[in-house]
Amino acid sequence: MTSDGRYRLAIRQPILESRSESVDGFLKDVLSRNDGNPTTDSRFRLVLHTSTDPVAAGQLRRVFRDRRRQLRDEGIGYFDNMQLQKMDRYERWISHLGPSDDVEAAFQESLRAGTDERMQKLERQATRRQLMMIASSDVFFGHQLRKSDDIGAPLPTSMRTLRSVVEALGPAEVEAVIHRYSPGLSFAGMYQTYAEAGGTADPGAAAGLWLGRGDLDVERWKEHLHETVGIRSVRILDCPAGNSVSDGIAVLETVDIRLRRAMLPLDDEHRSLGRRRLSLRGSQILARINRSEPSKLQVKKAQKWVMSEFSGSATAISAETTRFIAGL
Amino acid sequence: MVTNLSSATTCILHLGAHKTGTSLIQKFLRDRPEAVDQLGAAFISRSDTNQLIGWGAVPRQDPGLLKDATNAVAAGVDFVIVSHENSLGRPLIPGKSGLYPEADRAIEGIRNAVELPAKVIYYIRAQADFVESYYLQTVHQGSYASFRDWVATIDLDDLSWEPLVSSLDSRFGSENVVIADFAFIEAGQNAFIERFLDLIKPGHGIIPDYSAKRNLSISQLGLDIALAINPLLESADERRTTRKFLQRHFNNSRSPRPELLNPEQKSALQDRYGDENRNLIRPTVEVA
Repeated sequence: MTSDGRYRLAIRQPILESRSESVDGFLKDVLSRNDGNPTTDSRFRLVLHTSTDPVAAGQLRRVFRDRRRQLRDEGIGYFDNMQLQKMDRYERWISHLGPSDDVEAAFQESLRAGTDERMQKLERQATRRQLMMIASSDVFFGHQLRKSDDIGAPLPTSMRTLRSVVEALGPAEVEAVIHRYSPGLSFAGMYQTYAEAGGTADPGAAAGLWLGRGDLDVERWKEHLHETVGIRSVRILDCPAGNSVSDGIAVLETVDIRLRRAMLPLDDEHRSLGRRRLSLRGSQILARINRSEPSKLQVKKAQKWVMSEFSGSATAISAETTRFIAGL
Repeated sequence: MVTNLSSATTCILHLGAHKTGTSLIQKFLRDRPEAVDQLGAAFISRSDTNQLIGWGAVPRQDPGLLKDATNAVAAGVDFVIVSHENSLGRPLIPGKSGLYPEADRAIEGIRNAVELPAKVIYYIRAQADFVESYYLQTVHQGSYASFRDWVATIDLDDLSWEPLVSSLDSRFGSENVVIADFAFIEAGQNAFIERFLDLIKPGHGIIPDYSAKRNLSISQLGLDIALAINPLLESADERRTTRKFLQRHFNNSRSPRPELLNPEQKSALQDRYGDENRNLIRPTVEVA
């Protein structure tokens, strides 16, 4: 608690001044990962992870989620994009309603409801800098793809969430890590995500927009993270276009060896993730189905069908898409 | 090959047309061998007839194939049933006039290839329904021409069944040719099958109870999707799985049917061919 009577972590107000359930959920999640598991790293670090290939990012998130226990055993807390999006939704709610007595009352109520002790504990842990969180998300850096014409454009709300985190912890304690895959695999992943989100354009049109605008230019992302979000340390990890899941994890050891220890070797199910990707043609078929505006149920059926009939390995899809891009 | 033919054995040639329930009949005969036995018949499978008849040219080029196949199973049965909707070629061929423009040569080839006494069963369908249904089949087979573009290649004033029926009559004798009406399908799947069996052997005593589902027709939405994704499909397998997917999830059981011929076109076709079709149908002819 600070001298003015407020908790130090209350500088995270954009995140924590939320409905009590959000505060509870946030704290519970963070604390449950760290209880009784002192880390071997004395620094407190928040590592934000993303990838040029959103499909690879999603696959890696799956491994992170499934290996939470092992990560915790290594002293690593994991916080995934769903939780961040939850905060983001709250943020939008706040920005829509504006600060009010009700918001403050909800915050006070959450303290009375028992978060007081947990916040102090979190503060102690943060002070000891024993907590490291990996927040893996493909929505951070502006390539969340939308059905509308703003495909590929930065998402202001995600940037706001990021800024909130950075402002709360201080820029020195936040790092960003970007997995850089081959342009072919990255474009295929972007286009698959776009089609799965309801996009209707053919890959030629999407490529014209995204590649023309430099959406796959990681140096541009880096600049954006430095200047817009305020993250000082941005690390780019190059990945060959092989088995995207294990390759992606292997290079994470340069961030922290404990990540590799907690996540490798992969089990069969995780290994097979790399084979569950839509080919560029499969994504295009899905985009064309979207054009007819089928019902939500029909869209779900269509997604399941294209994945069963038009999927492939990262290697094959990278090659297919590289040829496609070369032919543009 | 020397075969002692039974003069009592008749070859039933179920030759089409396309889109008139031929698959239903073929599946029933394949799946219900006990009914085929009760009929006193032998059935040559649809996969075999692909090799024996193909698109109608095989009997002309190699008549021995169909002859040997029908003779081989004739002993001890009253009927040998051949059901093959591709027998008379393709229904509509760009640049050629009329329905089944290559039928005459195909009929001649089949006639010459079948040594057994032969009876023909041929279903016809109202031209408007036939054109629409056949268009959808071309889409299932991979075409992505819009209906408007596709129908522009067809002379709607030249779709009479009469030339084809005349050709069958001249080769087989009109007394050996049954022209049935596909509209009977409205009585239901089992009634339709029973009627087909009646045409072979009246009083057969078989009461079909066949639950195999007919393929549902795609809706307007299904057609839109097929036209959009067909150009991206690369193999027959992909086209087959796409057809099944669309028939399952984008059929017309709950969504609107495709809008193909407009009401004026349908009415004109009915005015032009309705009476003629009724006169061609020979429902009272008994095959056996």
